[in-house]
Amino acid sequence: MFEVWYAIAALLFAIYVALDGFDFGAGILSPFVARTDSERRQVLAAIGPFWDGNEVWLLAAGGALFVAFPRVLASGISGFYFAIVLVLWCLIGRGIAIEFRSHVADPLWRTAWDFVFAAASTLLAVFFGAAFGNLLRGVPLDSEGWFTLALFTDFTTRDPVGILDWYTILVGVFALVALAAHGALFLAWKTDGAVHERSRRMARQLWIAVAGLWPLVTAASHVVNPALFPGMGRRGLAALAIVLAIGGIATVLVRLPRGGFLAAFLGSCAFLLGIIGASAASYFPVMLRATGGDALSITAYTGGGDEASLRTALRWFLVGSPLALLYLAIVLRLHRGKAVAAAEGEGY
Amino acid sequence: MTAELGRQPWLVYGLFRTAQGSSPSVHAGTVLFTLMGFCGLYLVLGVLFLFLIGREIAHGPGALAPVAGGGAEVAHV
Repeated sequence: MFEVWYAIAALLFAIYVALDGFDFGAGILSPFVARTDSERRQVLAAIGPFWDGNEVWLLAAGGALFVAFPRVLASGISGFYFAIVLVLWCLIGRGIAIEFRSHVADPLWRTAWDFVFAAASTLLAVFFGAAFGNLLRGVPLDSEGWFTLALFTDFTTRDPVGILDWYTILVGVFALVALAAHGALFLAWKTDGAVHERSRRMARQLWIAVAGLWPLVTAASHVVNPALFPGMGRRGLAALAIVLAIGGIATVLVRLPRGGFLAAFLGSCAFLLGIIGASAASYFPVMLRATGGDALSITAYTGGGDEASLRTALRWFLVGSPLALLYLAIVLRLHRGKAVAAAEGEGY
Repeated sequence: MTAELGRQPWLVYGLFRTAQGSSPSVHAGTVLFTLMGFCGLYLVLGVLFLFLIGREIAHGPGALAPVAGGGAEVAHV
């Protein structure tokens, strides 16, 4: 049961990154692909129906930890307390920017909110990447299962570690580039005109950067956490996820130059699901790696809740997750076709 | 507020005390700082909300305009 819930939690986080990732990407790129007011509104119209629904997957992932791995959630949220509050502030500011931007026609008002939207999207991509780096590198857990982290120390990955070091910054930059590349494909698929042209061009450049950074980040992960990859070949799910990631990035690189934007975007989703899935499957059963030795790490077994409650929760998960997927399918169908900037006084 | 304060010192009534549920690794100063941050953020949000609502009220409802598909409906402005 702990294995099942570990997989569910990893899957929910991966879906969250693939979904909210494309609207983060659209936010990161909006100053570059959309220059006029109506182009900015076209970008917002493209992500408008999706972004808040996408964020619900983060709640679902957090909920999975709450129900199945309460000790992991307690230790992680406490240890990363300030970083998580910063993420929350960025999410709130970004939501306000999207909702308030077009209510007032004043150029200064709109430029200010456009800046908040782009800056918050950029910071969120880096924060989530750095958080992922922290999990892979490990945190200074004590024997009681708690830890505190400074924002940074000496930028090495040896104790005393901080939230930011050369490795977690590298993963943060990789997340920024990958989510921008992901968002560029979404915009290329969902928009037309000048925004489409610029997104397509940026997508090509960004995906070359992703293809270059991916092996570099993988090598760095091996240096920081040598236990991560050796066991991978014997784990079926890890191998499957790697195939998904390679197939995904190959699809992007083949379909993008030929104008297959939907196929390329789906390839990009597969790539993100694949790299997160492969990392999670290799990381198992660890959920919070300790820098002070494996004995201190919190695993799915030591951090898990009561088996009986996990079984009950599984039944509700099997009811709830198809409903969330159905909602996504309905919204995608309702808003099929190219996004058009809303008229003045309406929409985003 | 009534529910939260009335239940003290329990986090889960009869089962789990607030003191047992607080994080040992989060310091009071950090909590105070983030609490002030949240208050500031929501204060700004509240002021912006009042500003936008005030504008909307000053502007008044739009004129009755014919809508495609027949019938008259108040145009949202």
